[in-house]
Amino acid sequence: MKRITRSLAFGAVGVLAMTGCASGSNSASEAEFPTDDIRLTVPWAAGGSGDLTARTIAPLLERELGVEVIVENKPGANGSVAYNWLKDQEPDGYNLSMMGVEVATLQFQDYDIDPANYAPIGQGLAGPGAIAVPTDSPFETLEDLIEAAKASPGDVTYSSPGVGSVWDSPAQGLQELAGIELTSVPFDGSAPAVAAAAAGDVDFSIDAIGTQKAQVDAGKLRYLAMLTDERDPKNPDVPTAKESGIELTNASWVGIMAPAGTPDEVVQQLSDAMAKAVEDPEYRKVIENSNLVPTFKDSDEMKEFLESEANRYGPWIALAQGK
Amino acid sequence: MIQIAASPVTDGIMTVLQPDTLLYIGLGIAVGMLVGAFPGVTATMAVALASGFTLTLDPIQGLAVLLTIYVAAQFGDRVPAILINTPGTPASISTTFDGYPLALKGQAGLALTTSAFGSAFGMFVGIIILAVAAVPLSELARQFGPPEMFALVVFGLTMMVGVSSGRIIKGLAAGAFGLLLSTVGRDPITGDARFTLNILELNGGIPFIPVIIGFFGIAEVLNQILTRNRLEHHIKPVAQLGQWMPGRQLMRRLLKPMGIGAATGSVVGLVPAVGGDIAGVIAWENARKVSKHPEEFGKGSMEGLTAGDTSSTATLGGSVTTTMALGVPGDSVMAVMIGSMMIWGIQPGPALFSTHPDLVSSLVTIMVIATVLTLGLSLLRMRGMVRLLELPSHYLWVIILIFCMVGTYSINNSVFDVFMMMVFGAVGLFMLRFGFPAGPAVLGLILGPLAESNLRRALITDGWASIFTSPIAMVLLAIAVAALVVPPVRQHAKRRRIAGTAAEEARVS
Repeated sequence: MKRITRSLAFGAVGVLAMTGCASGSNSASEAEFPTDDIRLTVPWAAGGSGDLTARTIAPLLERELGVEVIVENKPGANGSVAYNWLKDQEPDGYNLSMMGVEVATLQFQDYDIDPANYAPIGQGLAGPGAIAVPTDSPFETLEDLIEAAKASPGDVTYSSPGVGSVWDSPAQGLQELAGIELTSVPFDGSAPAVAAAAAGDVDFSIDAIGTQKAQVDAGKLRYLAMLTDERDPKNPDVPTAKESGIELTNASWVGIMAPAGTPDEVVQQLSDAMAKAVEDPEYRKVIENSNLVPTFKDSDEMKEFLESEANRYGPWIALAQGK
Repeated sequence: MIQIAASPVTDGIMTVLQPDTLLYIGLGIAVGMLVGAFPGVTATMAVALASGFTLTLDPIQGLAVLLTIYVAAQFGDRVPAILINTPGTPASISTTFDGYPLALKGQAGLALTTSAFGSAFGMFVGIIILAVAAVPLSELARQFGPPEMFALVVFGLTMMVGVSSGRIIKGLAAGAFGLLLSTVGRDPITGDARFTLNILELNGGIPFIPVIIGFFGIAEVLNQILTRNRLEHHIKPVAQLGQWMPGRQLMRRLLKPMGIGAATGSVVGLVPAVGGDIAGVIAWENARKVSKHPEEFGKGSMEGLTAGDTSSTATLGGSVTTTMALGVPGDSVMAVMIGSMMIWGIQPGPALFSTHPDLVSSLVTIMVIATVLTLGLSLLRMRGMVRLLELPSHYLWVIILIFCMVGTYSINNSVFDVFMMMVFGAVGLFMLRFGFPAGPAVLGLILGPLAESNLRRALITDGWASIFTSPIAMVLLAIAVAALVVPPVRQHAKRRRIAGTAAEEARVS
């Protein structure tokens, strides 16, 4: 019996060790910060692109900062469990969290999340969006789609990864800008939402270009319009929504933040370390292979960005709830 | 190595048969069996954690680790289900129905071996499907839109009657309770909060793994503690009780449930987002219906155990097929694996099998090796595991409680989850003492959200017409109605026939 208990105990230790052993101590940094391990919380379940970003960037931050960066998942309630937890941590730079657009938008869905409670460190990646239709769709251009929606309001359907999400909201924006009425069919995440469009269950998918790519490559979906400022270099034939007169751009993004009140020097130091990590070829390779774009914004830019995202999404979410 | 004419198939096999790849398979088996045996720690979590370390490996080696963890966890999770009534992962919910009663009867050893054979058989059937028919079958999976998913889930919900073990009214009450629990959280379509009582964590709904652990593991321990005196002589030192290997006669009897399990699991596995937990329960019920000894089900039936276990592992082949060929995760483990594959530059989706034909044979080879090795290892290891039951029960209770707590905490690093587990342990105890079966409640909790969101999606797109115009949905709904109506009608007819003959006899005499 003892043997069993012991082997089970070893197993437990082994599993625990797996989370922690991605270390690699390096030369100590000259500044006073950091002297201790840093905890990087992931507000989502293990395995998604946000989680992978954290696990890819953590060893690179370790190299820059000279201390261990421990990644810990705290998923729940759209990320708000982790965001709420972070708000109450000591603002000393040792407790960080990954963040997404929900930091700016959850406040519009009756969550008690205020962006002012956080000090952004930086952005790590962007996932620019697109509108894609099934290959056999009658819509050849965005104008076709808009015309059809004008002809019979509410009959054109689209799939989104969930109400209030980073992709449902810009679809509300599309309706507002084009003066049309669409019907949202929310799914449980991006993968099933895009698959539903590929199977023809809905008329179009609005999601990240990279998420739709697999179905486009397989000939099940076709990009109709890019929600980017310029045409996507990898898909130069696909026009942007702007070219059709719809001033709509959107991208999902992932960043890192600390609790508000973290000293400016510490935020600056973390932000500099993150800037170098995002430039690292290893990081770029992982992110690009996931069909995402490594993108960096520093702390100040992120502060402004969070505000502008809140201003953009607020009315869209109100629009979605009004229906 | 022997030189074989190069083809994508042999290439794929050869890439796996490298010493370093085999080493990674070994690593995956060790991790997988451990996490499987640890209640609360799911294969999803293990694969997610391991994926952080496999990023730098070459894709085949990385897949060797991740897929093997997935396979091995399917064997490990039966062990706590049989020995301590706590499913190691949700896939072994149906294992508790008969596995634990068998252990109480002193047949834990036989149950473990039979379960391992059933699991291996299911795994092989799933792998064969992946190997031979991946592409055409994935097209079938594509047919499953919201209306079809809704119909399938309704069919799954009718299993509530079967897993009520005869107490139909109480079973349905428990099922309704499960469905009610499943409405807690954010509305899947409008995003409004429902029954969240201003508790932040409840916005994500009631976490079902802590509930499962509470209902099965904690409730059972609490019950044993309360009825200690009566139970003292109940748990026998099982390890000495001889039979380990199923005899030929038993094996022959188990062929039918194995077949049913394999067929059920293969089909359910193909459908995106539905996994081994549901497949096990459906097969268990299917096997009960055709069994010559349906009365044994739920009280320690080898047939029930085998059907459920064969089925829940047979879903693996289907899950992998759907994931690779459609790019839609077949279950939560595969959702994690898609992320890793994309980082390796492999994009799961309809184009995968034409761009990487060797990948299919690599996948198949990895899964075959993993299954064979894990089966061997589980048979070797079990004698030690069963000794666990020889411990004086008060030690056993403490160990189980600690395991359940640590496991539950580690799902989300959340104290709230542990709290939920204990609350539902108390609820489970109440249900146990008053004869409400836990199976239907768990079914309701797992299937409720799937039924609701898919029905509402279907209604948004085309109204009720979207359901009535789908042949797959209509067939599934018809089967569901039959599953509900036929047994009572048949029973009624039987009763009348018996009454009739009795009356006849009375008249004759």
